[in-house]
Amino acid sequence: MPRDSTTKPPSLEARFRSLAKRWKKDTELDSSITRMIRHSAYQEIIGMGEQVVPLLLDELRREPDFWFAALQKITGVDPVPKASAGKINEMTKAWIDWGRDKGLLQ
Amino acid sequence: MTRKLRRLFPRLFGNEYELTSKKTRRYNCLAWAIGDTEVWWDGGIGGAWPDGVPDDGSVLAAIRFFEHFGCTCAANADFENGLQKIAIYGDDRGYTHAARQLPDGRWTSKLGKLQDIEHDKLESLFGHRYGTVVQIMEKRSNST
Repeated sequence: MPRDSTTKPPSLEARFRSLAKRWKKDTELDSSITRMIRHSAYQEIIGMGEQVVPLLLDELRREPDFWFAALQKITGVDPVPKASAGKINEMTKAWIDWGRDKGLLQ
Repeated sequence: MTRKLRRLFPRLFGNEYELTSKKTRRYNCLAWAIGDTEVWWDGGIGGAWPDGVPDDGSVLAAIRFFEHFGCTCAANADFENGLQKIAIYGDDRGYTHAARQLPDGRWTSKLGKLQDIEHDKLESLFGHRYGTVVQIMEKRSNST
């Protein structure tokens, strides 16, 4: 079937949600964060750059998961104290607080 | 959930395992193997990892991790009184999973971001997700 010339590309948010859903499903059995990060959907999200950071933070707040590497790689910062490494709730809080400070989250 | 686990692990038969926790991302299989339910132990960004232990996700990194917590490499997974055994699973890309032997000889596993299960056989988790058992570790069971 020919593509409708009026079809719009998916919005940034729709694209992010679709990639995030695929990544979550495909990595639910992973213990290795390195494997989670290597997933193509995760890499594609990183490639979306700074515009995706508010969506990542919102997703992290909604359902904490290992988005820390993506946030760190995109923003170049790491607000997580060393003592919180591996503690998902503490890492999530550090990033949510950072996002609020930057005005990226309400 | 049973159907989902069967799809993920075709060798995991319903009468050979039971779910023993709720789904959580608070800890992973390495943590569960050493008795920790608060931390996600892994060398990647966001994980906790002991200083001086290789953090590349390899099977060797997993072996060194368990050595850090007092384990040594073992010859087999047979149940032995006074010893707690840990099985490291892996594939050609590195470690994939770890399971801890229970005092009754069965095994307990935290499945990634999902639940803990108890299972009769290590082979139940063999397959395209976790590969096979690549190393058995052991430690005195009273030294956890």
